[in-house]
Amino acid sequence: MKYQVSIGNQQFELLVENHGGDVRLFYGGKPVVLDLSPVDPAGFYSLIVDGKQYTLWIDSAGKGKHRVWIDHRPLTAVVEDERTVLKNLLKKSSGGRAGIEEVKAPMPGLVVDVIVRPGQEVKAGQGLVIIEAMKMENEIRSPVDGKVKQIRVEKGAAVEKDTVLLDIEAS
Amino acid sequence: MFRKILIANRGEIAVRIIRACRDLGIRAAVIYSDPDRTGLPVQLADEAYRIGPAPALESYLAIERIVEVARKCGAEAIHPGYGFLAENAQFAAEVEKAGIRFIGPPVEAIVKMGDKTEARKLARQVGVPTIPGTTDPVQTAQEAKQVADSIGYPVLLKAAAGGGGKGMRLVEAPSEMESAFRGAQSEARSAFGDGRIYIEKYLKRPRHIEIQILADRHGNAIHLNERECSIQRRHQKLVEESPSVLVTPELRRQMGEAAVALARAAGYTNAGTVEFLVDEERNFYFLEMNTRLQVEHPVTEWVTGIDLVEEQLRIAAGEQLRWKQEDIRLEGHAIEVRIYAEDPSSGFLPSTGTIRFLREPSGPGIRCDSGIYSGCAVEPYYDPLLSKLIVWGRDRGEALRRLRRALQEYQIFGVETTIPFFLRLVEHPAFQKGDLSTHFLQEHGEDLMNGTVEADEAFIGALVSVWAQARARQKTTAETDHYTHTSNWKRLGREWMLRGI
Repeated sequence: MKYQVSIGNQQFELLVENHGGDVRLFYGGKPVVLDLSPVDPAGFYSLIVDGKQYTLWIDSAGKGKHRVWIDHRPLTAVVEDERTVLKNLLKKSSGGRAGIEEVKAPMPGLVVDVIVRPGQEVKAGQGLVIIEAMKMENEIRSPVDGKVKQIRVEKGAAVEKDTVLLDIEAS
Repeated sequence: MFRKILIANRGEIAVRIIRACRDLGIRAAVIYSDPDRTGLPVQLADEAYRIGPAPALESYLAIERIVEVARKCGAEAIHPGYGFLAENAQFAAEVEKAGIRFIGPPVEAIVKMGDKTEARKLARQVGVPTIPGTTDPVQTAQEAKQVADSIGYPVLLKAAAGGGGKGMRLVEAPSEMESAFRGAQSEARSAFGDGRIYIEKYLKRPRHIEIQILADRHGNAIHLNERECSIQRRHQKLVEESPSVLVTPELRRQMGEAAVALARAAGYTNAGTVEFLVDEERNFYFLEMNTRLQVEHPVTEWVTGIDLVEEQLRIAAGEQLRWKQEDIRLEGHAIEVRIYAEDPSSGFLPSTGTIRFLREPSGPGIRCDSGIYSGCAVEPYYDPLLSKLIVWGRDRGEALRRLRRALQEYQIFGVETTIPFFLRLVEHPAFQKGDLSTHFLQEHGEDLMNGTVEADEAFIGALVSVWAQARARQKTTAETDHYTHTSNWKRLGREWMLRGI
């Protein structure tokens, strides 16, 4: 199975072969020897590549999203297999919900204020909603340039982690 | 000395106080709210009493209930830690009224120094310089605007009852005043139950340098050198060190004497901290006094060799100070970084969850004051401080190298932490040089908040995430076919179980 990985603006294509439960990776047609040994079932690994040791945390959020810490440096990887790549391409061409960015609450808290209105143009980094958590008021900012499509929470609402606050149509 | 005390706090500071009690042979009782039932303080204390549900107002701020618990369990004194009721004069008064000793200054001193405007008046009276601003709280945004016009923008709005950056706003132009004033007021009200706000001029590249003092109940008062706490975000400290690279022996003497003079004028006893802003020309201005133990007290402990919590207990029990000013040493260099459950890449937003794995650093020159353990939950109800990493070296360079080593060893998994941020900070040339100011993050935030992902690192990330994805896939397939195939995941799981992981 072919996989495509995006990390920020970097992309990698890898081939995976499954040999009776043994996962083998190929990059650019060449096999990659991966000595990845679990230190703790929570997701803590020791990786040795060419004698160099890395301490790794792998947190798989599902839907192909993985957060990986390499010696404390965090990165987010989005993995798509060839089928998902194809599906997403079809979705985009049929004008699905491509380009809609859901802004989620990063932590549980209380919505103190909604600073934007539906239809408003916003810039990446612009404040959208203020959530009070841990006694601090935290400004939730727009991840993209775009237009506020729909606001899904009200002032005064208690929200859980990952509650969708509003939708932004990326421009 | 006391036989039993009650600790009216939680997290790492409750643990810290329990440790001092152990060293002195005092029984330590703690209170806990429902989510803290299995917290580290409860596990380590001699006695633990439920105080209420999660909200602080019904638990760690519930004065009557806490005094009641102290009375029932026979505690002779209460240690308030920092935050919560530590600087609440009403609490101190209720405690003393119940015939229990409050481990901290007398009620009158808390009132005097706790009210930031009163404190500044007193500072002026004893000749300690202060920053231009109002000595009385301002009532409305309109009035705040008038004051700001007269002293000049930018100005800082601060909660009269405040501390720790709560209820504080920077206002750079008149147009921002209205919303900033409202924000500061509501935050102050919810954090301290007191919405009074005052204004002061905002200095350009100041350093935050504070003096630790100790005063006994027999009229002796000394200072224990300075701590520099310039690196802050949202006016909350992230890094503290002693000594400060800016402070000369002469400045140390002047600031120390000013701090002691102020403490004497306030009738202060026990441990306290006098905070100053120091400009590039080494002029210092009194900021406020914290009438309690500070989060960053360990750096002072390390360079002076004095256990501040032990001294707090001794002073509260009526003992004389065991040191004179000339006995106070300043040896080597200590640095503390605060490990918060916050995501530095999203502007320090709090992160909650369960700590799935924890391994704390150790080795020469490392101290870890922590309130967490593997498997503990990080709840959204309280301050997100997980632990404090303190390092010591013969000089600042050695301390910084040890800090880097300790941060690399530190493994916390399950919540985002400030560790990646500190790892970038120790490499930063301005930090290494000691070119600090309270605006450090505004000046260098770009380099520090988000690490760049190098291509070789991204490649490793890509490899392991594909590996993880393929393994997860295999797991699901194995589960559906488990009658016909053996699952490697199950085999691995059994292995782990057998090995007791």
